[in-house]
Amino acid sequence: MKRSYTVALAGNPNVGKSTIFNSFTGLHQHTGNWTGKTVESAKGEYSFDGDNFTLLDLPGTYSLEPASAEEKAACDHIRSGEYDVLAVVIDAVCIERNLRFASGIICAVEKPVVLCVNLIDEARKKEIEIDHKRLSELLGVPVIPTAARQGKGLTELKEAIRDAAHFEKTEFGKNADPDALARDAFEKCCVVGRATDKIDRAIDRVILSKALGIPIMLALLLLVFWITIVGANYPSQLLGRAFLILGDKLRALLYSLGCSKTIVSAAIDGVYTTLSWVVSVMLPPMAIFFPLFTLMEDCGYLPRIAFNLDRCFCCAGAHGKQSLTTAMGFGCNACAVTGCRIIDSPRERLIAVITNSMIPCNGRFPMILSLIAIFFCNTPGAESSFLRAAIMLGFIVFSVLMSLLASKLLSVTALKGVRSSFVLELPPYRRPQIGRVIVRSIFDRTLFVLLRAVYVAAPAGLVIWLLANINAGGVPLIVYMTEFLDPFAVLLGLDGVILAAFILGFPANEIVLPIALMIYMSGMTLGELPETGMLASVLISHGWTVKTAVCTIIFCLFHFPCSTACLTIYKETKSIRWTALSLALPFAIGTLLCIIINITSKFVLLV
Amino acid sequence: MPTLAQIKIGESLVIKGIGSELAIKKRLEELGFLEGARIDKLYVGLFGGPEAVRVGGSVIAVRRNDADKIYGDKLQQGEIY
Repeated sequence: MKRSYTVALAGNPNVGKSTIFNSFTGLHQHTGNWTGKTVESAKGEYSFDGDNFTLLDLPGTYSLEPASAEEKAACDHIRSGEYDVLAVVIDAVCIERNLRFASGIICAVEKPVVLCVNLIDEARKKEIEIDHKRLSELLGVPVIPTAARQGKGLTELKEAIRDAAHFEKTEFGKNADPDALARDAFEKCCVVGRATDKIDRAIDRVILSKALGIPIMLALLLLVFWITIVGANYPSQLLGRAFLILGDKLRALLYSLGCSKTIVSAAIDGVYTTLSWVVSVMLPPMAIFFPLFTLMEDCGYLPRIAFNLDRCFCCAGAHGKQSLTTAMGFGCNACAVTGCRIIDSPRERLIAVITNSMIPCNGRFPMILSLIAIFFCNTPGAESSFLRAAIMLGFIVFSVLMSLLASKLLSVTALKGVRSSFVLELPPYRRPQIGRVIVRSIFDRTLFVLLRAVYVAAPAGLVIWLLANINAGGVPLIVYMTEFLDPFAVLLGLDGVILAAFILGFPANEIVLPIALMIYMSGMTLGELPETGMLASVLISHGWTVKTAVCTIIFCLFHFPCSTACLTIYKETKSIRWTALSLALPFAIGTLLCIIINITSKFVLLV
Repeated sequence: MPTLAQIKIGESLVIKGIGSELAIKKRLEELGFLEGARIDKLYVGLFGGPEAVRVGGSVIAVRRNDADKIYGDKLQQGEIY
């Protein structure tokens, strides 16, 4: 008879629970080599030997006494007993500390426990030997050694879980003292050789050195941007050309089906063009940047960034881990806002959430890069792509500095309070599973961009087309909007069209530039898909100068967060007040900066 | 008795205690900072940044003013890298 059981996965952060979860359920929780990666419980299912199992991946916790909301959720769940089997995953490398954790759980919990000793391969390399049979006798629970990333021991783990589910737990260890039990277990079952983490320490001596640490970080970031720019160029052009050909065919098809000129224009010039722009300009950079970033995450570099930058963030009134949420913000602001849960103190978490949208996400990169390519450095070639990457890096560093300033401002006004503690684990460097990371990441990113294109860009494209092509009083509707915004926009060194594009681009940052283009070219058919050359001529013919480009980039960096980010901020803060501040603060900073740049260039540089 | 903040990089302490006013005392104990445990000071961040120590098989970083409340006996020993 097929039976169903619930299994909960518990353990310290960064021991491999999510890896095990992924391999059992086939789901793809994001695993990364730094503590605190899993901030929400995940649920999945698998079958084994005729039974169904529901698997719960709990956030990591260092002990049964929680220090944060996520840890509390995990501890509450562990204590609740709302499962049939508790699989405790521990790290064989830090076996002493993990045994204390495991024994604490074994003595506290009444349901069957299976102990999974993971990272066995790494422990062996460090000359750590664990006698599993003896450990099992001492602790009174099945002990399964695994190397989850290599897929070893997982079947035995499934068997042990199934066996534990079929039998009730015997009353064990309720009288035992967990600390004494752990000490006993460690002394009798574990042999720890000399610490052989020479390679990790050698690497860290460079990465964490006072002189080289931050330059190396900047150099790595520069390299990532450069690879993204160079690597995305050709695929973007290819995609652009492919969409163009497809677009013509679609146009012909619609005409042949008897559609009117208006409908064809709405469908092709409106919806299809926006969609194809977003995909051909957005997809290649995202598909390159994200996997590179994930590789850095996977190998364990991120906590080192937090270590190097902690002092800066501390002085800005922010938590050291905000450097990590900042790094996440480069990928996606909405994801970073959720990731702010790694910051335990509510006050500092809010600071991180509110300032995060000042960090440019992948959605804004293509726009900034295009403008840099046109207005700052428009010669092709290798050194100039390097220069463009460097300019991009400059803007990014500036945005991080501004986010620190904003954090400082918040920490002395709206979010005053005591600085909380900072304890950070620097995990061992792990070789990232390059193939798997790249394939999975590219697949995920492609899917993400395509879905966004369909759900956000396509409808937005239609709306813009309508606004640009429906006339009222002899003039397209959109012109009323741009003329209304124009006086304010000019103050910012922009024009009404740009500002309208930002406002209409609220659903997603990717569509801001396409919207601006469409408004500029409204009334005309978008015959050719905007390549950089054409983009340049459209912008320049509408009065764009270097100053306009600078102000646009600055406003792109500092304006209200996109709709997804706003929703996420509300979901995380559960407060309209803080969400409103998250919208207002970056906008205010962007406006102020643009005004300053505009005035400076007008009266000082006379440009 | 020297504290973690006071010893130099490359030196080690055998922990005698952690200042009880320290909010993260329990957390540190869970991470392996127990009485009698040996900690090796590995790195220090820029401008008075965090201090990273090897403790019980893992590497943990704490801020300097917290490190100043972890005290113990200095070890005479050789290579820790």
